[in-house]
Amino acid sequence: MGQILPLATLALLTGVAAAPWWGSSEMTAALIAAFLPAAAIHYWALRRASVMSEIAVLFSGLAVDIVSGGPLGLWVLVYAAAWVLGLLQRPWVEILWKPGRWVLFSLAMPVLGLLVYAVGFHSGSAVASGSALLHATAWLIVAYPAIAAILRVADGWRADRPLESA
Amino acid sequence: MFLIPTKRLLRRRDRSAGKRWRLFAGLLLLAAGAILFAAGQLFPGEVADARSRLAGPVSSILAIAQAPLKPLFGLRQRYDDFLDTESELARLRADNEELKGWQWRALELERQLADLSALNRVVNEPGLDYVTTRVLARSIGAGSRSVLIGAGKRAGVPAGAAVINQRGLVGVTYEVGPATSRVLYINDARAAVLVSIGRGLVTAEVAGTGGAYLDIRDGGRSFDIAVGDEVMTAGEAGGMPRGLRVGRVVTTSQGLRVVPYVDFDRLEFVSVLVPGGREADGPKGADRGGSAHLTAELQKAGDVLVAAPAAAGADAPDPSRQVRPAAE
Repeated sequence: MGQILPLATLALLTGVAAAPWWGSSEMTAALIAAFLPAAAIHYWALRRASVMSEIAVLFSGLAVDIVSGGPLGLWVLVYAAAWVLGLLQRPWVEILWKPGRWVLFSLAMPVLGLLVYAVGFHSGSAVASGSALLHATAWLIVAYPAIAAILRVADGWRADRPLESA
Repeated sequence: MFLIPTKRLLRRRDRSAGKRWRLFAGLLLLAAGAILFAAGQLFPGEVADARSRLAGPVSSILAIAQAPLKPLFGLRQRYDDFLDTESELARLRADNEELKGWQWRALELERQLADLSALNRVVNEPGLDYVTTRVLARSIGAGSRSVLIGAGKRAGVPAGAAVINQRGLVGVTYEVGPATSRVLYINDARAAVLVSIGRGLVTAEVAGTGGAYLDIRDGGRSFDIAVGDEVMTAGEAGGMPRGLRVGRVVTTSQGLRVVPYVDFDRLEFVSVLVPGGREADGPKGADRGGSAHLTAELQKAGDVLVAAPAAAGADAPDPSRQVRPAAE
């Protein structure tokens, strides 16, 4: 179960990201939903990178790209960036205290928001307004402890569990 | 004695190599994203075609992932419905009273029209079939207002077909794939529809703004338009049929605008109007003979249905008047 959990959570959140339930005019909600897989990818990159497949990250981004109608490659780039940022930040988790992961996500999230804005700007079709992106980024940073707690509970809550050594 | 430190050293080297490899794979992933993005910019037509072909299978797979969470998200809609019920009931009662009065007048006018048509040998408008289907996914974009629906070429859906629900015009189809189509909402910044406004039937164009309202481009005849005027499609050759409800004229800080009847945030089923007589591969005849409401059938079947108008006979009413759009 522990081996497939990261993939299962990514699949679930990818489904949420593309779901039509949010409503089309609630841009912030739609963006938050689209960023949820990125939050999960970042979490697993920090916690258990060895069980998360890069191919799964690629397919997750591709699926959201295909059904969302935005510029192709946008969400592949965002999810890949979340993955790479998580991997680059890994050494810091061992140094920082536990809420350090929240700090690391707070540092990664604006980068992802800027990436969405830049890709949209470059493609000539604004993917999201600056204010919607700011709101979505802020919401995700605030909600990250809850997301992380849910993923951790699903993974088996052991407070003293050492971080997987990569 | 020397074995243990050597093993540790090897393990550490393995970990380091694994870390480097993972990072390299991550960078490859970023490159893949960049290549996809570049391909989308360089070959937009081919990419759109490939995307419309893949959208059906991908949305089917995503539907499996969405299934466990669907009841949770339905709660919000139920809560909104609960809040709206009382005011909706009062409004419906008032509407019902008004409609009873209109019904009598409509029947009388219909009789008169039939008499006049018989005298003048009027050619009837071509009939319309419709395909009712589910909304599969929505777009993620600031100015982009579109959704992916579960009906495509196989169900006889062409590009540029009008998409409606029980409240009125939703949008038009584009990027039509074998099993899915993308619907551009009328409030998308790229959308524009030719309409007739009010009792004076002022012909104008309404254009999407990407927001809640539609701009009226009337060529400076706004003095013929009043707040509260009903806006309907004016009809376009080979495309949008005439008489579909679009919205109502309201006054805003930016002057007169149109507020669409359709609540775009709560679309679950939509109907695509397809030219009459078009043969489709999908299951047909679910609505033949004016049976139960199509949406109810759909909710049971969870599939695309193509409804044909009631059997045309000498006394059969004009099929184009029988289009019954999907309930939300």
